[in-house]
Amino acid sequence: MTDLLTVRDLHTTFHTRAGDVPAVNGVSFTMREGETLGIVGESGSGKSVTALSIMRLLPTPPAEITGQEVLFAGQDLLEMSQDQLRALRGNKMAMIFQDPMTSLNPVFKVGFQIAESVRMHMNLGPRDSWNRAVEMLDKVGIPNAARRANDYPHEFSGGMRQRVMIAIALSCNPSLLIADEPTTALDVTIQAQILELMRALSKEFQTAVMLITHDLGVIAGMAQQVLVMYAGRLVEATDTRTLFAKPAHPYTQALLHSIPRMDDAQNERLQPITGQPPDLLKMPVGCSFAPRCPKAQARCQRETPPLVEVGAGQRAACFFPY
Amino acid sequence: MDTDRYLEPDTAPTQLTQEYLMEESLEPGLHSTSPWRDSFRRFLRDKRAVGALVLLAIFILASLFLLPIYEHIGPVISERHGFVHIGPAKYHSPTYVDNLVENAPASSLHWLGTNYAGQDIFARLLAGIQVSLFVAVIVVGVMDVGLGIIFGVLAGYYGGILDTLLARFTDLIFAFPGLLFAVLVTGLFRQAALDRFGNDGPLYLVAITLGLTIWPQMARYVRGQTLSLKEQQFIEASRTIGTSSNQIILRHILPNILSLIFVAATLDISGTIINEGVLSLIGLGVQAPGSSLGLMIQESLANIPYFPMEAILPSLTLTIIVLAFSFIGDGLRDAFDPRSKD
Amino acid sequence: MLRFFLRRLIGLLFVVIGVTFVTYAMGYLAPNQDPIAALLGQHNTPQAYATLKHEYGLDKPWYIQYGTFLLNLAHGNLGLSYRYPGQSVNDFIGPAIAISIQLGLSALILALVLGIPSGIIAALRANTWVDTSLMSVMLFFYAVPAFVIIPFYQVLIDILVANNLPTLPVQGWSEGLTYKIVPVVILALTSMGYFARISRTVMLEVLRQDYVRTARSKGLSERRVIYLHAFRNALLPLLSVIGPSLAFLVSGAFVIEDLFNIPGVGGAAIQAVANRDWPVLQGTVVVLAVAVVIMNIVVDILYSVADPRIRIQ
Repeated sequence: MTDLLTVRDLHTTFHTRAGDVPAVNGVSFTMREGETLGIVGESGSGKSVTALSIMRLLPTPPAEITGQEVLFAGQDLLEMSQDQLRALRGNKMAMIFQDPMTSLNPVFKVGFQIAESVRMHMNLGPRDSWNRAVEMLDKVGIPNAARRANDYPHEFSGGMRQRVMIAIALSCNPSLLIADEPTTALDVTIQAQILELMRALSKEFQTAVMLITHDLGVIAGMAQQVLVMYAGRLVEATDTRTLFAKPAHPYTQALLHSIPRMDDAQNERLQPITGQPPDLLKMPVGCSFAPRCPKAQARCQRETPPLVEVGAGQRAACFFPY
Repeated sequence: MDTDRYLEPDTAPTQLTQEYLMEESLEPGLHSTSPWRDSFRRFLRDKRAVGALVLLAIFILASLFLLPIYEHIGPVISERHGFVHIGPAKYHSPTYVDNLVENAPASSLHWLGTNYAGQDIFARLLAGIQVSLFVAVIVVGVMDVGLGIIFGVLAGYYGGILDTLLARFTDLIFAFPGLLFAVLVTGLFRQAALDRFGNDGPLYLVAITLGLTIWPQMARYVRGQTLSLKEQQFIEASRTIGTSSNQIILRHILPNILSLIFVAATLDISGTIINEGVLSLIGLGVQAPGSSLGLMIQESLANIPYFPMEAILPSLTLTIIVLAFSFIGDGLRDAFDPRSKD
Repeated sequence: MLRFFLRRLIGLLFVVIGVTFVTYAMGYLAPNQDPIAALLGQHNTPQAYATLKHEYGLDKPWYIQYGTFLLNLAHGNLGLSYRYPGQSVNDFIGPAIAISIQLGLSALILALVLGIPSGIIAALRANTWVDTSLMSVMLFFYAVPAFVIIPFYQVLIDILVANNLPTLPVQGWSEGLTYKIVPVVILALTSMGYFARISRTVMLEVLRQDYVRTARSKGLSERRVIYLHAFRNALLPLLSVIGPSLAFLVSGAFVIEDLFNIPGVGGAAIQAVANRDWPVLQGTVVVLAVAVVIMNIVVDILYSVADPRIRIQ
């Protein structure tokens, strides 16, 4: 498999009246074609902003996106004009969002909202793009697709709307699908269906998926590679199996201790992570997790640990891993 | 009628970028102070609103204190009337008619000149501002806010018959668009008010009529706010520990909606002052020789080609007052509800 | 669809009954001089008085009078003038309605056509000098009433005339199109400022909705995102404020029709007050209230067409 997306030293800063907020602070990673990459972290850790920065969907100003490069299929997204980006968005890279209730335009038929994208990127006529929309609705498991394409978003349930979002996103055969907390707003039973659908379709369309979530359970079921983010920085990057078996960063370890595990025979008590994530306006010097870290030493307060190889295919930003 | 305020976005910003853009939540040191003080600080940052407040304060103080002083400034004159000696208490009175000095230019005697009836324009301007303020205080300060809070809170909190009555009465008043009801009532009862209360009668009539039409809208707004507050958990919690309804209304509901009412009332003042002006202009308000900015404009219209200043002065005064209240209202709204400003 | 109309028609009926009842009660309660005596003047004999009083139906109890009024109203008959013997209220108001509709609708359309784009431009350039200056102008027009603009305009005209520059006439509504421009523009100003301010707020709110981000994520052009996806949604709250905004037009119409001598309904109402011609005043009140209700129904229909969530069943 070849590299699809290479992000090198991405920085996204929001300039506000109160000061500059470094929402994404030097993130680097690589995604391969067809691979599912999970990004976990608590809210405010910068995972969504990372995704929106890659799509360049953030309003600038107040956001400012800088970095060495963001290579997508060999082209640097940071160097592109808005027109070039538009040709890619919804076409080669697509995105679905957290809240299906508000992500669809309430005044247009869902068929139109799919066909609109198809018509533009695939150069199809009105009839062909509509047919493609119906076909996509059928593919995402909406019964009576031909009839339902004429319905408006409010006539669909939350889960069904997320299916429509997936249909829009996949309608032009993208090579990268960014899913920003796609199941957070849904009922638990619907969550599983939507994840299963995403897994099946990404396989069928050979689409790489960047799955952003705060739910380690979702990661375990879906992703091959995982990135863990904390306060705008990448703190650990590894494959899913290693992450659960041998987490290197104290933050990852703490995360795993804070959720119940089926394979854990000892029935340990869940341990919450004490303290609060740092205020991005007043980032501490040194490791940003240090104030909450049980293993923190004097060095952690002084220096920011770089993301380095700590094991086979495992990188962590910690002076004292494992 | 100001419907702006009913349109303010109620939903929290949805985009995740928004959480970084919410300056207020990031502003250092803001967490420790009270919400009123925060709002006050935000208001002070709005230069336009603060400027308007200062200007308005000057106008108000001038109309209240300068007019009595002005009535003592100037010589006793006799040449105009032969043997009759008249002092500034007369010729600087806003209502004193003197046919011998019609449309006089500005002079040391009449600072801004006189109008078609020889009345002192400066005194009339000050008296006109007083009328505008009187109407604003009675209509907005007393009737709009008073009745609006009482009926709005009670209807919202208790519901039932009171709520239904309020709804029906509101529907009835809303069936008369704009000034229609005021035109009807002032038209029909004007003569009676003149007979009963003399020259000031029409002004009282105008104030009561405008007040009668303005409060239902405020009551409906307050009712809505009360309803949504009532369903909040802290009210529920307060009820479960046995706090009485009166206590809940006084301790929890009123303090929470007071700032909203304050903002809405400020925005209502402009409309009220304008409406008084309209009614006086079309002959349903203040009776000559009394003074009102609207009446002054009406009196000056016929002579605009010859004495344009007689029209421009009251127009400009009214413009400044109305704009000042709008600026202050806008500033207050932004200060009390930062979300409403983009 | 039928049920919707039926419901609105019943609503209209209630407004008419409410408005006429209040109007009637006010007229009944107000201490006025005897209209019959005023009509007869020096020809007042007991016999003529009784005859005329009977002709006007004033010898009946108030509820019969009101019932007759409603019954006549149902036939489109607004009663008889107190001031001009033998003239019906319809003679006064009939021609006035057409003129007021022309004036009001032109002003409303002008206000929408100028106000909404201004608000959108300001929202797209939010917090720049374009936004600030545009919105300051719009706040000025919104806050400052027509009767203050008119003197300024007349002073301007006098300056222009003195310098032999072309001007637009202000008096003489029925003499041609150019005579209508100034009244329509001045009447439109308040509503224009109002629509501009609301449009800005609404557009800013819509632009930060999730579906706008979705539209951008599909790679649509910025123009399509703003003028199709965002504007189509902004239209809904804008439609819903047209109803309340009609109050500005009614208030403005009194002033404009009075000052510009336009023989419309507002002017007729003020004339009626001056003449103490209560039936005419009542007639104008009913006509204006019904006109606003009908406009509201039209707006409601437009709204239900624009918003799929509340299609008329």
